[in-house]
Parts: sequence; structure tokens; C-alpha cells
Amino acid sequence: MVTTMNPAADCPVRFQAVDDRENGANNASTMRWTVDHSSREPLPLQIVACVRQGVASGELAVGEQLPPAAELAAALSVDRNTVLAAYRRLRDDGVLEFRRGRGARVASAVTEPAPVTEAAQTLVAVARRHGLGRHDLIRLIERLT
Amino acid sequence: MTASAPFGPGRYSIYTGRATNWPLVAALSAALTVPLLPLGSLSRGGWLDPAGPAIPLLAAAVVVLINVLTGLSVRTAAGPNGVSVHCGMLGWPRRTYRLEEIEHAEVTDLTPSLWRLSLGFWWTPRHTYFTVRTGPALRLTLRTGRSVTITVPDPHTAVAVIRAA
Repeated sequence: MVTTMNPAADCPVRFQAVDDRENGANNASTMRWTVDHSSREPLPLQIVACVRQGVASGELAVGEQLPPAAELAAALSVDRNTVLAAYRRLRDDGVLEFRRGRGARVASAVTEPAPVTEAAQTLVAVARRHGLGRHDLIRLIERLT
Repeated sequence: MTASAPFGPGRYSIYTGRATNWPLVAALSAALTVPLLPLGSLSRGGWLDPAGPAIPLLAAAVVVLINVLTGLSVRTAAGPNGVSVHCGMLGWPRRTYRLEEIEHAEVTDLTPSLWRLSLGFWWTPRHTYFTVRTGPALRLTLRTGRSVTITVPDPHTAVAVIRAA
């Protein structure tokens, strides 16, 4: 069963807590990735969106290691540099951190870039001044996206 | 503001998983090293003497190094490009099974009584194992008749992805 929060989302993620510890493994990470080669959206941004959605849904916990770029690229049929660009973008946004010899792992659970959060706060303030409530604002955002 | 179609022709939906079991690696390293240490301590002579301790100790160090480099994790990716398995820090041993090679994918349960199934990479003429623990695992039956068992964190999702691809 796949649960999606937004029907237009690129990355349907699976909400399921899988506890591997009872079977002896002390670490396990699982993740679904979805990219659309025929979409207008650039592939690195689609991969970035997959990671953000995974972190937001809890599928990727803080400290979990992401697949190496070469392996993920081969599975998704994209170039390795595409995945590296996505990882670098997430590193610059503070979502991932790179460790020498250990690959990329999730650094923090905050996934929204700071400029987006600031713009959203401005939007909320302006909407409040004009008398727009929360539901009106949500409807507006849904119309725009 | 994305323009991707839900089921467009270029849509790749894949599953990735990483399973580790470092206590097993530590235990295996100890188990493989312990027989060699008495050899080293019983030998006589200097370091460069063939009867000296250098060769067993070197063999023990090499065995531990190989075990640590290859046994620390099993990374799996499943999707339209098949199922790929990479082991350890170096990504070796690695194997990719294309979708055309795979006849059947299912979830099996590895029981502790079959102890050899949890020892990491294991190859026999009919079976290949990339397993690091007991419990649910992904089992692929290839068209050649070989069965491949891989420890993945969520075998049911992996099977669903393989069947959908």
C-alpha cells in the first residue's frame, strides 16, 4: 500500500515502520525513489524532492546513510553527476552531510530551505493583513502548485 | 509546480535498502582469526624467518581486512534496471540481476537453524546468498534455476517494486 500526501507528488513514499533490530541487524535503511525522465522538471531537483519527502515522512531518519551516487544513478538510469548534483544541493541546504569514506548521510530533519521558509512567513503575514485565513491560504497555494 | 505525469513513460520507481550487521562482522573476524593466533604464538624464529610468526599474523590481518571491507553492509537497489547488490565499503562483491534474468521474486524467512544463511556472501552451485541476518529476506529465482537470497530491510516493498517493473 502506498500512501501519498499529494496526488501530484513525484515521490509516493511508503509509511511503514520496519523494525529490523529484532532480527539481529542493528541498522537498516529503506527508501523509495521516483523520477520521471519525461517530466519538464530537472532530474537533480526530482531527486532532491525524493530525499526531502523521505526525510519529512520519516522514511529517512537523521543519521541514515543514502545510497552511493553511482549505485543510485545506475538504478535510476541517470548520470552519476546528476545524483551528485542533487546530493550537493541537499548538502548546501543542510539536509545532508558528507563524510569521507562514508558517503552522504542525513544531517537534519528540517527540509525546507531557509529562503522558502522566510517567503512563507512573509506570505502568511501579508495574507493575515488582508484578512485571508488559513484555509483560504491553503486553497490559494493548491491553486498555484 | 511539477509537470510530471503520474504514470509517464519515463517514470522510474525504485527501491533502495541497506542492511548491516556489524556484530556479525566482528564475530566472523574473531572466528577466522582465532585459529591463526596460536600458530603465530607457537612459532619460533624472527620476523622474517619462514617459521616465525609473521605469516600467520599477516594471514589473520588480511582475513580480518577482507571481512571488514566486504561484510559491513549489503546495499540493494531494485527497479526497472533489475536488482543490484553491493557489499561492503568497496562495493564488492557486487552483482546486478537484470529483470529478464529474474523469473520470480518473493519474501522468504531465514530461520536461525540454517546458520550458514547468515554469514554474508555465500555461493553454492544452486544458491547465492547476500545475507547478514535471519528473518525476512528477498529471494529471487533466476531463469537459470539459481536462487539468490538477499537481506533487505523491507522485502515486501522490494518484491512489489520488482513485480511492478
